[in-house]
Amino acid sequence: MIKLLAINRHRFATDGNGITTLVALAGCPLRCKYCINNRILCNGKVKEVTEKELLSDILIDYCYFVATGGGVTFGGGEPLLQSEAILNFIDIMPDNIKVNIETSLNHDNEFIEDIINNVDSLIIDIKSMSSDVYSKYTNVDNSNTLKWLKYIVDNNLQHKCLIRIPNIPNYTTKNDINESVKIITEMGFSNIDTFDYIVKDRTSSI
Amino acid sequence: MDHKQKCEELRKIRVKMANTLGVPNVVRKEPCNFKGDCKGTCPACYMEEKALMDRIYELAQDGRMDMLFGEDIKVLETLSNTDDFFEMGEIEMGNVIFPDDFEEDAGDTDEKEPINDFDRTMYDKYKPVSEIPVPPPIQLPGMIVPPRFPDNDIPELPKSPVTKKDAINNKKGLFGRKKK
Repeated sequence: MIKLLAINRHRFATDGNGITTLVALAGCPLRCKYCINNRILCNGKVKEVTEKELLSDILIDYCYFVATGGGVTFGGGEPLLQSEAILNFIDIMPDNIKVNIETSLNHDNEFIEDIINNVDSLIIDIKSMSSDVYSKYTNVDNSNTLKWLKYIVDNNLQHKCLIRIPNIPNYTTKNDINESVKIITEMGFSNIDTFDYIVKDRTSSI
Repeated sequence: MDHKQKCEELRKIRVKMANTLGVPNVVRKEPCNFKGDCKGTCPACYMEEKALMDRIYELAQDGRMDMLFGEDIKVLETLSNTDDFFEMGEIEMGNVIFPDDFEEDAGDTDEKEPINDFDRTMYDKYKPVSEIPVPPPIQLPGMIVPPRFPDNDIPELPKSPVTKKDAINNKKGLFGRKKK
């Protein structure tokens, strides 16, 4: 079963190559100060579906996936919380649909190695390589993130990763970001995206 | 990309796919002439998508899906380049998805009357799946819900051609990926 928050179709080169369907999964181990999506943390609004039901819902866009090299992107929330379900989904889906995940890598379970090895791309928001900044912003430490980054490096899988390093207002400085970029680059990652978090009034602190 | 542009890009893909699949007449040749706002997709678009999927399933049952993996399909890979991959601006806060995104898209699956004779023909030919007894679709506020196939009737879609390496490793089956 997959605990699902929402599905968003027809995303053009937004989360992965081609046209993708974003499947937002429920639950997140982080408690980011600027997270606006409280629904992710609200179990009452989560829907559970089987992997086959999810597949049947997204297959209507099969043509677009095949035509553009797109596919399904699991986001959230933290999709790694549901690693086993994602693997079950991968097992039943046509393999010319790409599978991407947007993740913080900040979780640990027995299925994550398989996830890393079987998805087509990982979009990894590392927040910051500074453990101090990371824990202040997310309220948790980044030991799992570092563990899985090392796993990716040890297995030469950097090529299928996009590392996202945000400028987080009131939490990171330009030097912090440059230092994170430097460390990530030295680890062999070349696809790096630095960007600004945009804080809106409707955001809520958790 | 606004909704009208999205509509047109999706239509162009459907046209190319329809030609590739040998059913060019199931997709409108001209851009949508609907003057009002839309969300980039509508019941008329859905009917064309469903017509293409019906064709794909038909070909899959006949074992003729190789055309989807031949040279022709490569011309459709218009968005799968690395430059596009890094245009990530729509997600403003990392892994957070704006609830408003879904709310804005709400209504895409609302039933509407077809907008021209072609759509009427398509509408009649490909009746909304809601008329077919299927399990209730996933329903969440603001969620776009493509109609679901009957739970036990998801046609098998093909694997891409088995490469020499794959054949040696015997990692590819007829459906679904084998974990590496």
